[in-house]
Amino acid sequence: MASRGTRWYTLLLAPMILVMGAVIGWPLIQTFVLSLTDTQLMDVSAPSFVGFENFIKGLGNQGFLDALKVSGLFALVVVSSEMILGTGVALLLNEPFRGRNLVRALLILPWAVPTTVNAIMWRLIYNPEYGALNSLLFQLGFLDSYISWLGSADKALWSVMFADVWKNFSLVAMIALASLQTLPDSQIEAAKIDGAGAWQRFRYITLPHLIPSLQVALVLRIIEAVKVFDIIYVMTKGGPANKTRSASIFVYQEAFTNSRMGSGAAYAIIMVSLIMILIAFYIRGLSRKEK
Amino acid sequence: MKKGIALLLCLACLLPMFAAGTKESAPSDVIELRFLGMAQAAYSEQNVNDMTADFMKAHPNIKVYTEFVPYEELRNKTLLAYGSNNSYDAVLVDDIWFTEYDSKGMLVDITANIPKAYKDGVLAGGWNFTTKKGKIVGLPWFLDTMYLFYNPTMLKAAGYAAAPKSVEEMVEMGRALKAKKIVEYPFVFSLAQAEALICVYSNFLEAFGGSFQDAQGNYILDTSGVQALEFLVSLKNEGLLNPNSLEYLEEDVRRVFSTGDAAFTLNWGYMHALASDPAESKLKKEDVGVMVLPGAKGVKDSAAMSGSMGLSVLSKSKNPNEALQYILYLSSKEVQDTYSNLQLPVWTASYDDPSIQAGREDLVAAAKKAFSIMNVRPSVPNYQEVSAIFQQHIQTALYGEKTPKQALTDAVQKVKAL
Repeated sequence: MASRGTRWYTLLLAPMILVMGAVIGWPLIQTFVLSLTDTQLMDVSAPSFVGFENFIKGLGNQGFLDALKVSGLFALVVVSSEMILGTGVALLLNEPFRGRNLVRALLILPWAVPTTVNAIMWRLIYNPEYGALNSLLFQLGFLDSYISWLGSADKALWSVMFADVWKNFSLVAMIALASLQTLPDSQIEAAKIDGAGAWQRFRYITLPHLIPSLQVALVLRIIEAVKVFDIIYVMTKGGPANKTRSASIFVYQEAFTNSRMGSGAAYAIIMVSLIMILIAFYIRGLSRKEK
Repeated sequence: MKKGIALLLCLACLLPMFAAGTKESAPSDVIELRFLGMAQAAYSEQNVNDMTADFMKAHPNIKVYTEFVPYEELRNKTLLAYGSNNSYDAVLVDDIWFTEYDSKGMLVDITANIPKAYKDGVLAGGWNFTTKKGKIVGLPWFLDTMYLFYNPTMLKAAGYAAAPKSVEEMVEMGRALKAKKIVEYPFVFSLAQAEALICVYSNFLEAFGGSFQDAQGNYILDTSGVQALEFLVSLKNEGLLNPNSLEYLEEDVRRVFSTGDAAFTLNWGYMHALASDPAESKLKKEDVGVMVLPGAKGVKDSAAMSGSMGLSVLSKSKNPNEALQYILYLSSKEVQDTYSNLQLPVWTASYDDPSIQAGREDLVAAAKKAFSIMNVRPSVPNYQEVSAIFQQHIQTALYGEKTPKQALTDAVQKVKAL
């Protein structure tokens, strides 16, 4: 039997649970129901029940599988780059040097920039006529002529990924830096006295200390990266020749450009299922950390 | 007591949810309309807002709220708003969307409500795309096509006194311009994965005597369609086409042409005034020539594909009569003549008006010719999806991943499977 206190807390939480149910649970149920029908964008009143046909078609759709590959590659490259770069920057910023506080404050800037602003900024940087990147590389002698970064089939995705890494590595760096500041100096000093080199100190003391925090950052970033939409939509809209079309953009096109809401909902459910698997890893990571 | 305060605080947190639903009430005798237009150079948002302000002055009982979105968002926003309980009353519709909107019952039949002056005075080409199954479901607002813009000063420097008379002659001029190092890339086109790519391709498709569909609606791109795509690919492979074209939209090619970095481009009529505007361009008036795209030798003289737009009243409008009044005002001859700086009117009589022609006789002449010959892109309810498939496959050929024939065969196969 629940105590009076527990009942009171449940009562206090009830409004929040109601709101969550209304804004998350109900739309999710509606989306699932929609995914079992052939609803068209402008014909919501008369859908037919098609069972799991949308899911079966979806999993066999080459376009969707290609889009999943783009999302997978995007997540793999972007997240691994951010983890390495973020950890490296955190290690540097944990060392004492003049102006350290200012650099730490500046670190937050890329992350604070809204994604769409970041995407527009990088579109300008990559501009094939007057972009800063072409100008820099040309003046340094790395390029013979200006390059169309977002217009070439083999460079567009990498260019978008670079822009995303620039924005998000600082989140990983901040999480890692916060964790590093809880590492007792005495452990490092003791290792130094025992004759451990810089690599050994990192490998056996710093890294194990960082891993639980990095695990959380890793899973959070994977979830974000797998469902990437905004930065790609603003920078390339999925082009050229669908080379940067992520799964989220595919879902959007299916539902709104092709007007197939039922099918679009099924693709969205597949996406949500993939993300839920990642969330399961996240929760597992968190529980390990608590232990 | 503390628990009571906490409960009150929790409930207070929910208040904004209910507050968000309130709306400032308007006087009951004022009719409110919502109009969705396009953020573009012509007619600009400022132009439309000025037109609207004048309309509201003349109709104090009507209040019009205008909204503008980029072209790429216009269709989706119209459909989504229509599907919700917050539909617009009047919207701007691209000529390729009329069939889809009409098939979904979204457009009000205004056939009986159009004044005779409009029926007789507006260019016949305009009514062609706003008429579906014998019903007029929109008012033509502007007729447009992608004109061929060229730089006569560059052509003179290469030894050509006149504009090209065929596609082949245009390519020959491009080769001469490149060989004489007058311009590195004589051609620039908007070939990004977007509708602009289809507009460029469809103009060359016309130039080579082709069409997307036959009379029965079957997609036929295996002969002239392949030729048109091979032409674009050959321009790229020969180094005549600016390689950045594959990420360019119309505004990008305007900028490149306006800085003197191209001798030929295709763009809409609005570019004519901007290409020699000192605030927008490095070119002088004599550096900007405009004409209808010439056809391929022995096939046809000229080619044009419609890129026109119209205004419609949506079926969910609560005030369709007032919405019709509003779009009739926006398309009236007086309003169109007043704002004709970047957009030519749809009224036949305007083309003989010296004040409309002044300073752009070449554009008006090209427009007259284009409007009499222009064809339309596929008029099908699922045009957006069809177009997206062609965009992807045409780009695949332009990148050299597939031959033009293979790319178009695959595209047609995919479209047939829809």
